[in-house]
Amino acid sequence: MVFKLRLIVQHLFFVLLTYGGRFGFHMGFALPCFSCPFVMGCGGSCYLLSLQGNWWGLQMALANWGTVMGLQALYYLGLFVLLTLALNKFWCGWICPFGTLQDWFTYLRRRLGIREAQLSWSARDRLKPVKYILLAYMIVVPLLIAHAGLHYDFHLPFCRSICPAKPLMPLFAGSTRHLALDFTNTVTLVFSILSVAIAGGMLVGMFFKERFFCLFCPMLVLIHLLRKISPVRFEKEVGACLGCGNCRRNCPMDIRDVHEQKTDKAVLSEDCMLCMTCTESCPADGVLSVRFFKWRLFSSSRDYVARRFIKPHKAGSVKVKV
Amino acid sequence: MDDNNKRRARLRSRVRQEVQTEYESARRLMEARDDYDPVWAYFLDLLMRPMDRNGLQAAVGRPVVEHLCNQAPYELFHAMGVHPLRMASGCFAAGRLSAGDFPVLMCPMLKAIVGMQRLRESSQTAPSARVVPTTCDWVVQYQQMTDADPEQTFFMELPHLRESERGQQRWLEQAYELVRFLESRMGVKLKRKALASSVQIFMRAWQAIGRLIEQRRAGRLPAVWFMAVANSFMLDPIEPWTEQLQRVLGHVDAHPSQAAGKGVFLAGSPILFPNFKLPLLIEAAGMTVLGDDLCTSERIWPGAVCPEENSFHGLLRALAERYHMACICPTFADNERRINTILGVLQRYPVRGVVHHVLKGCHPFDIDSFRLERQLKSAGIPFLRIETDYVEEDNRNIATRLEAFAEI
Ligand code: SF4
Ligand code: SF4
Ligand code: SF4
Repeated sequence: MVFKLRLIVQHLFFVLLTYGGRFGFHMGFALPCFSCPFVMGCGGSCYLLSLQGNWWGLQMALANWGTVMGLQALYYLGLFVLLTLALNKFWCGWICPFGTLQDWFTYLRRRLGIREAQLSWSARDRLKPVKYILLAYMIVVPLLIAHAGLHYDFHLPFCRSICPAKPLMPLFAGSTRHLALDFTNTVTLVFSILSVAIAGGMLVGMFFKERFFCLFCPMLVLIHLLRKISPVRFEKEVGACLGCGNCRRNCPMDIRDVHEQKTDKAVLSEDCMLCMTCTESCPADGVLSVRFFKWRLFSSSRDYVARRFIKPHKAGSVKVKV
Repeated sequence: MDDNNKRRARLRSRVRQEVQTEYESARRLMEARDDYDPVWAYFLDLLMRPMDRNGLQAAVGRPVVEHLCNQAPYELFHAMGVHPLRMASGCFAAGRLSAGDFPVLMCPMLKAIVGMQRLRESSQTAPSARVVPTTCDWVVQYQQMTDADPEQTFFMELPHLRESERGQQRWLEQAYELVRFLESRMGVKLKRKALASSVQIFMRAWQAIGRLIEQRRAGRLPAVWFMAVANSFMLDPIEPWTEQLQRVLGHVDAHPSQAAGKGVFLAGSPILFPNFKLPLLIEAAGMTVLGDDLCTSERIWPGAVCPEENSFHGLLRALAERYHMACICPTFADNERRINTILGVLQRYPVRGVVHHVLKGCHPFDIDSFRLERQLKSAGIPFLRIETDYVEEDNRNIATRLEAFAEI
């Protein structure tokens, strides 16, 4: 079962990326997922930190290309590109520890039988540009610091004022310090208030709406930029789709494109995190498939749907021969 | 009793006799087939049940709620302790009883439904309620055709757009309305657990029928037997029916019949027992139906109920969408994916052409058949439109056309 395999992979990476450093495991500083370096002893670091960092960020590469520092920034970028090419959105759906944390909230809500908050189509569409704005914010502010004299207190703008992983993920390493307000000056205070408030809002959002933070995640944009040259493919045989809508309803990201697509076979959309839930719920044989180069990793089928959604027979009910 | 009433009573008793004869001879025809096996007897017994409502009521052991069309979720009725029974009939004789009161070119299935209801004696159990999804123009006239009690009739307003947000929301609201209607009529409260378990029970039936569909596609099961099984759906409680279906699967595994002749796909208006004339004529012309999109056959189970969300709302939404979005009834405006089911079967199985059945007076399928014809012919797929009703007079003519089609 794909969802079981995914759960195992997610939890394995949650442990590795949250505690790996304590055992000498570290996947580098350019991971295409929210493996937050503010977690003491983490096993790898989110590329967004490298992207914004004044000493290793994009602005450094631009200003100092050819120098060692510039090359180091490019090295991080290159590593990020390689990792993203290799696994593309699998980083989001299968590896990102912050994504796994969100899935725990959904699991809890479902166990309690509480219904999910549903966004209207227009509200969902209006949220789409937010991640671009956040990406612009984390690129422009460091540039302004480097080239337009903006005060250094604005450094790491996304991590320090927006990202909910920074206050929340260190809790798993026993640290509450990123929940504290920083009274050093107005900028730090505003940043820390924003950070804690957003984290609080996200906790509520994550409980009522599956993968709530992912709706705004700027990492999705960066990964998506490379989808065309990545060997990871998510395809639809449009001519055999029944239009049943299972893919749309079950998508944690409320993606409508997979259902609506009637002409193009590429359906890896901007917000997709390759969790494959849609493919698992599609009852049409071979209509949705996820591929790596030419190899098919998984394909939809009526048989799979039956195995995934029909609970094992209990005494007293009907036995179905499979 | 005045003369009029006497005449009507006489007519009713004559028609009742004819209905009986029609059902019985259709059954005998099935039993006389070379490929008949005792495993089919259960399903043939069920097909006879519409004539005996008291027997049916006793067999299902729950209050019966009648419904028209496939869009009212079976699981929902079942979870509320009632038995959903689809009003549909292929009986020519019953249709004659109501024909005089309606337009000549009215859907023969609706005529037969009304006729069967008129035949029902006062001693026979009346349904507890009726649910009518507003599909085609004939169906929306159901209440005035039958003088059904408006208090006991619930019209589910079916949005004719499925791919719009508004259409989907409205349909979900209608599912909630249906729950409220049944709760008030039956005096029960629908519980989340009951709904979840009902979904499971029907998914098991879906899984089993899926296997039978595969067997049929592989040419191991003649179309009429598949239709007999499909037509008998909900003429017995769902669980024993599924068990019998398992027996059938075992039988087909052990004794696969070999597809005789060219494979075809049968599309279009519903086909119902005792009127199996078209599948029988297709067979006689040397062709085998390997797949169909009839709402009385494979399309009783389109899509699948796959709820990721198991809250009450999540379950109801999954159900509502399965019955609305997965259905390719041409009463929907955005129905361009209808052809996909056909092409899907065409790609995977040795299907050489499409026979499109149009019941005279069934306007949605009639209109849609022209678009389908254009699409299929442009893809080089032979297409044959057969327009007919429940009479037998045109059998020779249809047989000749089918034979010519088989030659292509
Ligand atoms: S704070 Fe967020 S963006 Fe910054 S490094 Fe941590 S996870 Fe990445
Ligand atoms: S489109 Fe499919 S794979 Fe992508 S996020 Fe939605 S459910 Fe997951
Ligand atoms: S779940 Fe599959 S068949 Fe249903 S709409 Fe989506 S892609 Fe089409």
